[in-house]
Amino acid sequence: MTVSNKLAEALQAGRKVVTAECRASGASNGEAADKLAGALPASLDAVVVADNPDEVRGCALATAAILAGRGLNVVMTMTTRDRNRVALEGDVIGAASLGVGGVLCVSGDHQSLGICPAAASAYDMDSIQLTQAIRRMVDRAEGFDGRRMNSAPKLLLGATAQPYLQPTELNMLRLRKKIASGAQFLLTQAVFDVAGFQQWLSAVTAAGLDKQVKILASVLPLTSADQARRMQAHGTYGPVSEEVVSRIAGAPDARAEGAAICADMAGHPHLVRRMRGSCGAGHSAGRTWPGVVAGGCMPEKYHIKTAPMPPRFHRIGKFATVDWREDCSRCTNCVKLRCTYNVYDSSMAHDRNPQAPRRGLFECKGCMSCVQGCTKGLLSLSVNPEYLAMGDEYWRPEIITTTWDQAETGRIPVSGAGYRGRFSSPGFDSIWTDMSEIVRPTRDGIHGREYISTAVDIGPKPMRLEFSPDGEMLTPEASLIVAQLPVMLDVPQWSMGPSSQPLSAARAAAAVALETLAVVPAGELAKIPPEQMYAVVPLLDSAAPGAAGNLPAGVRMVEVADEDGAAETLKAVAAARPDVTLCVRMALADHSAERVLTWSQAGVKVFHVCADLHGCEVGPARPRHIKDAVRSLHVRLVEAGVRDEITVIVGGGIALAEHVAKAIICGADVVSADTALLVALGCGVCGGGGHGQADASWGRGCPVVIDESATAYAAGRMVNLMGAWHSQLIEVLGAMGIREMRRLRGETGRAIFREDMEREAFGDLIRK
Amino acid sequence: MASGNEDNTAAADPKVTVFVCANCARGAVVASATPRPTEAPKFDWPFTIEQVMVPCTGIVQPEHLLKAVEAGADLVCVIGCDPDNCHRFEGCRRAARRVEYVGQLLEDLGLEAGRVMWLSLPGSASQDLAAGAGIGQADPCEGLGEKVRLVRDQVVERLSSLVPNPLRQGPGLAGKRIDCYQEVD
Repeated sequence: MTVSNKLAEALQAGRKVVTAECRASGASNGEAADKLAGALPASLDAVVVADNPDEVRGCALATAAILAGRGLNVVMTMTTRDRNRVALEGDVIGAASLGVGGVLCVSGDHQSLGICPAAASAYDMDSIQLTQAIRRMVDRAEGFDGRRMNSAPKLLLGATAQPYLQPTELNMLRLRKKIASGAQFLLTQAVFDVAGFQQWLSAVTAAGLDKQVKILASVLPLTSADQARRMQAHGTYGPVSEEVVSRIAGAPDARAEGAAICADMAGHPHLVRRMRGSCGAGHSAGRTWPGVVAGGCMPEKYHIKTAPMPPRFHRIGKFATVDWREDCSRCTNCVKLRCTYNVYDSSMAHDRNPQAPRRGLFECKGCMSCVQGCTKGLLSLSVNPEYLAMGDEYWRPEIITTTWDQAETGRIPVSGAGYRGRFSSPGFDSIWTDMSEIVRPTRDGIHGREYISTAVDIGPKPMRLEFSPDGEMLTPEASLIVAQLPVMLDVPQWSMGPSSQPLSAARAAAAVALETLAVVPAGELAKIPPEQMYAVVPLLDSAAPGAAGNLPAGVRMVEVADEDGAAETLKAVAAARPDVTLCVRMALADHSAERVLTWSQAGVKVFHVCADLHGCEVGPARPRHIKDAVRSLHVRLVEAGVRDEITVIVGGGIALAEHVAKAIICGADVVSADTALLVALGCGVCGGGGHGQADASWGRGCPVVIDESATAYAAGRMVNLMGAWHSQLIEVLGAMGIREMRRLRGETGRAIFREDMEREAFGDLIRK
Repeated sequence: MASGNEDNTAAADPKVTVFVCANCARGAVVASATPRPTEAPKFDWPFTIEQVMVPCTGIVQPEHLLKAVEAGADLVCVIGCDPDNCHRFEGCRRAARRVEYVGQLLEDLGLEAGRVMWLSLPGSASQDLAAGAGIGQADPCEGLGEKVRLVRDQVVERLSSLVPNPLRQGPGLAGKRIDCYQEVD
């Protein structure tokens, strides 16, 4: 134990503890503080200074410092309601330096419940996080943000317990959390209902929690019948029986009667005299303080760090002056005055490179300044045929070039003069998302985009907790993997040959930076650094079962293809590493829902459903697009009553940020990007399958053929693309008025489907 | 020092730059077809050449041809579509005229007009248009291989009649051969 003061010693020794709670005096002169200090006897084990619980009375820190200066042992209450972590951390250090002996961490009643409904709420952390953070500070001399401190403050840590919080199971869960986060004693709410308190205490004893922490029961001297009535109505207090109220109301001196009631309570075998007393319940065995839960205490706000990453091969622009007419008067208007991007400079002047005539095709941004500027009207821009030749119907040239731009800059692409194009076409383009709730980041403050979360959970999500009759939790502790981005980085759709390994390494590195997951074939795990393993999802091969029992340390999830032997592979993984989340990977097909249900009964709760390159089902003669197939999968799982237990990852054909949002609206929990990651490297989806024949004939070389030295480049491009996607997802969520990506799943009400619109508008005409 | 060849033709160690139109030797393509071929015609050159695919030969300016000659090319070819079958209507005609113009300039400089050369292959504009409109038309690929071979033979033949480009070891370059396509400035 690192703290030695009166209260700590008493707790350690299992002695009866007597504490008193006081509030700040409410006066701004020193006399009131003196008076307060005089009212508190020196024999108290501690004085708990409240932190403006229901009205503003003053500064808890100042009061605590004054009382500490008078030789009292002070425990200062810290409410997370009013201060963010910076202020809290500063106060903790300040309190320790002013001689305060302990801190009681509370979340505090919400300001709308009384203190000042107009106040902004901080709630940067809750009481448990605060306890955990101060525990780290005390034990390891680490600041709230993890930095090293010169010296650790010496503070006793307490938390509150609410004996009347129901259901009991939840109450116990919360107590466990508080204990695990490092609270050394628990202070209860004021007790008026001894029977209810005993009931709670027996639950605490059954859970063995009384041996892990000291519990101090509180009594409160009522001062008036009004106060008793208010407390009766107030949700945060325990039951105040009618008997107590009438006793107060009937007494000539309410204060004296309140004290008498207190004395009666305190006379109960479980409660001792004074305003706060140790209940102890006879347990005096000394015990070391619970250790600190490992792991970070507070995640930083999620932010993707992007940095410009120029491509290895030249890009292909959309417009160019493909055909030059004669009769140029060499006025250089176009070249020198009008071209904003110096395109002509590189393509024409001073250059013996035979590729020079093609340079304009790469760089031109299509601003038309040169066309306007030509005094003789000789110039005209036309669409670069090389641009049109890229990709296919699904991976359209504009998708490819916009992906290149995003991967290069990491920013939301600027499309220029608005969208003129078709407003609906097959696939994702027949979904329009609801953008009615325009959220403006600068204007809307805390409702703005920086408070929108794109985090998603991957893993089994039990619908309820099951307990044995003696209070043991039977449901295994949920091990949800939280991915900060709803996009997993998936293996390419086609074989990449020798580039596969460096690409896997790049995905892993990118996933670490993005705080999401990367799928990596089991055979390529060897070259991935061990510290990146937590972001890696090995794709196990049922034909080579050796890897299943021999997973690298740190791996949190594995994928196994839905084929013969998958069950055995999963069993082997579960036997060797019970903490690892299991995921079955299958092709998107009309029977996907049934396969998911079958596997779900076998205990697998995470599924990676992969569509083809074009986002369509694999196999059927008339494949449906993700939009329809995933919607029906989602609905089927809802009907079967298992949707919320299951995580569905949808991959294939995700080409744009909006596809992520739309796939999630259709019912995916998470999506996976595969081809888009190759496009981020400069791929033109030529169909060359990593051999890049089409690209090579244009003198580009295949951009996805990379070696180990280009891993950092590839990871940077992937991070940039995902950074741009993340920004767009936040825009989409903001425009929908949704603050959380988790809430978007299956929210078809947030989108308009063209088919539905047509049915609504023309259904009667079409009907025979 | 490969340019110090004693025989008087460029064919021994030729430097050839060829600008090829991407549309001059391929079949009709429906605009929405996938994948859209962008391969250059298979010339099967007997020597190493610098081949530059361009979307239309109309993009090639006289400067480009002159720069290539200046950089030491023995022969600069522009291979485009037949007149009337260019996707840009006049692109190939312009290119042919520019070749003629540059040839005249070279002649005046004493570098031989034959050092630049215009050649044409069938092109595919009208076929593409017909395919897009859904009207059948004769496949322009018919006999294409033969035409491509003919173009190649013409280039090889022209090369054998040319002396090596004197600019490859010009007085201004102090007897040093510069890298053919070294970036200057």
